[in-house]
Amino acid sequence: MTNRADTIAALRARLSVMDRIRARAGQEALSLGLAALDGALAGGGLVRGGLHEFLGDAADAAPHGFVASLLARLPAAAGPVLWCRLPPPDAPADAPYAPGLVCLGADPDRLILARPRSLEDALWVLEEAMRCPRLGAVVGDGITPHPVAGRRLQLAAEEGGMLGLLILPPQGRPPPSTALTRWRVRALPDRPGEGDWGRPCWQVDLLRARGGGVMGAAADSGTWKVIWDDAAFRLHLAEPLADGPMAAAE
Amino acid sequence: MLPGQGGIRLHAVNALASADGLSVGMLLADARALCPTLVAPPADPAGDRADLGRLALWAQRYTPQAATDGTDGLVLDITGCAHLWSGEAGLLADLSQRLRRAGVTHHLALADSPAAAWGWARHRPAGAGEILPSGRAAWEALLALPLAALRLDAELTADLARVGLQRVADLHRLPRAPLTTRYGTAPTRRLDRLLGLGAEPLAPQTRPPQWRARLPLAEPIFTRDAIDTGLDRLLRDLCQQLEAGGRGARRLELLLLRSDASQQVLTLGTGQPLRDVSTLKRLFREKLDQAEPGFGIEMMLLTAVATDRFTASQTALGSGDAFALTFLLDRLCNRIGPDRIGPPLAEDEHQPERAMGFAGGGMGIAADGQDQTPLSSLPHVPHPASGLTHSPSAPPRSLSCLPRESGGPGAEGTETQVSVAPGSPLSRGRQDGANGNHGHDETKEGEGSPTPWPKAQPRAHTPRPRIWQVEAPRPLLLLDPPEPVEKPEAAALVWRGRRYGIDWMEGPERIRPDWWRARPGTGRDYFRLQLADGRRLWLFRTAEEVPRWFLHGLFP
Repeated sequence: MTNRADTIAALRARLSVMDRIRARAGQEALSLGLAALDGALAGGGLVRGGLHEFLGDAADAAPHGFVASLLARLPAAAGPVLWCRLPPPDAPADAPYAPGLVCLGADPDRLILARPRSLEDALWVLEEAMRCPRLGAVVGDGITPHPVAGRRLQLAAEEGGMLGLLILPPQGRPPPSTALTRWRVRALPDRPGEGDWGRPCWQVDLLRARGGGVMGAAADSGTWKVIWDDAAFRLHLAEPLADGPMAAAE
Repeated sequence: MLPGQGGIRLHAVNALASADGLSVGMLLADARALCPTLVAPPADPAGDRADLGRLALWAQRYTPQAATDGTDGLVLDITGCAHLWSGEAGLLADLSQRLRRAGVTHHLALADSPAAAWGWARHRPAGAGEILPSGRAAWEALLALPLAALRLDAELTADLARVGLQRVADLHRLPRAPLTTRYGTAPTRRLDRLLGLGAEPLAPQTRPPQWRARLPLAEPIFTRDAIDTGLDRLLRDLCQQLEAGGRGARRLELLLLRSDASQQVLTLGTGQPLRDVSTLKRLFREKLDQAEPGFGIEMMLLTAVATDRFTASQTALGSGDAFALTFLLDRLCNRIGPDRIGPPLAEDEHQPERAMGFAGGGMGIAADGQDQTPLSSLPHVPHPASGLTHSPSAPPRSLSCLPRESGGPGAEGTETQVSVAPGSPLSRGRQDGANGNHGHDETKEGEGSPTPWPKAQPRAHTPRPRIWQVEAPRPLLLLDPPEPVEKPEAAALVWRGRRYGIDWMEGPERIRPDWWRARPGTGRDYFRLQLADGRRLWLFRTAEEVPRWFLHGLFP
């Protein structure tokens, strides 16, 4: 009996690794910097070898800020980060602005910016970059891959073992995706008077996580209100969780 | 002007200046006294020599035997070539016209021997024609030349003048033996050469090595497979040449010649010298998507326009991912352009939009222009197809071409303005910035001089130690250009036609532009404010009489 239980547990573990729910043996999932967020994901963080999507609202830099705080947590030995930006046609903007990255703890010197002119070029750049073993992460900013391209990107990320972070432009209905996780980050009003005016304060929703349960059960979503702490360069929760934490994953 | 004895002296003078009374060798101070509006940039003898070499290479369109002659002349051996321009007069006229179009002041002469041509070009009497008739009919004309036409040392000429010898005829009349005893063999040898009695070999100007592979096709090709196969063969050939020469290619140009005589050029640049066939084929893969066969491709020509010395550390290509990042950046640069990819640079500026720079070229290293061989500015000139008939009956004819290059008032640098004329591919690699002249017209499809491909740093991407000075909170997205908004009232902001409530507003933070860049009194007052829905914005107010408000950035 114990043999069978052990075998089933071992098989589950292998399946979860193959499904990119858990990180592979040698790699570590990228921690989100907050135990509550990490705990919500089966892998204990963002697993490498796949895409993670971040949605935001119009004219809001919140998802960019969230991604920047994640980049700050990448180990230096992982390599440079490629940030590929396709600005929307009606609002050209310079992003990311390096001094703003410094405020969030990310190092602009390990960034390589790419500014392709068209969506086709941008998707090509992302795909090529996902396959390169020497990059730490690839960030796609303002690029919405159509379903076929999204599948290709996911395959490329799996091949290259790359951490792909896609910041999707604000749109009415986000397309269905094959990403490992999907988050929504929105700016929240921050109450001043606690010494620091205008700390980045976000509402982070986990919309989708592959393998919320172990065997691919329907992913629950959780909501957290996080505040960026300038002094300690990390996130912390603003108040006890508004909604209950998502059902414990195994 | 060059530093000389007693001060700076004039090195070269042009017609306008000599009309004013200036001459070569005059002191600059005297020259300025004579002509107060003199423009006298420093002379560049090395550059002049190099440019004369390029002119000699260009002159090889008339004959393969073209070489520089001294510091200010060219000599061309046009034996058997003149019939291609319908005679010697036609050839001279064509040469003169092209040089005139290029802005090169010149004196031409055509004679039986190089020495005779040299002498005739420089010292012929006023009113005499450029062409000396062949054979002994030119004897009297040559004998009437002054002694300077013998091209002897200045001291020797002065010695001979002191003795009373003024013309070549005087020297010719004297018995040889005492002349040789007294003055050495030089005068008699030069005399023989002038009169065509002595031999004078000519070493043509050598062209720098070209790395080129050519594939003429028996039938025009249309399909991508055929183009791939052709490119494969070209790459093998070229890489073999590069290996033999110990160099790697940094910039490649693939020329596709179509049946209707149109052509298409595809260029490729790499961060490191490469000569591996499979790597180059992979880099070319995206470029070939743009190839248009049209009516069929008849010939493919692959040139390594810029090459570098190939160091031994690059032999381990394709294995492992030591170069994976460099190759990735090469591919990205080739697809979206080297000016669209690179790291951000920290600039020492107060103005927020200038504080972050952008260094193109992948790794962001400044373009290394020294790797460009001057070959890149001399595209291949196809010679007339008839070749040279060296018939022994045709008398040897040498053309001495003396470009008298002197620019505007005073001694200007030698500038060659080249108009885009068919078959005149001369162009300048260096820019004479001193006069603001940009003699820099490239031929070939009218594109500018090939921008030097940025050179990658060796191997690993080590972050450069740059200091980002951030004194106050800065936004993560900066709008370019800043968006105008209405002045925010106490509790509301009108932005993009909608009204938002304001939670709080913090500021001002005054940022003044650099004092040498802007008028005094300009500046911006920056405010951070938070809207009711949580978004944090960065606004500024210009410091004018009626201040205007702009939205400059978005905070995370």
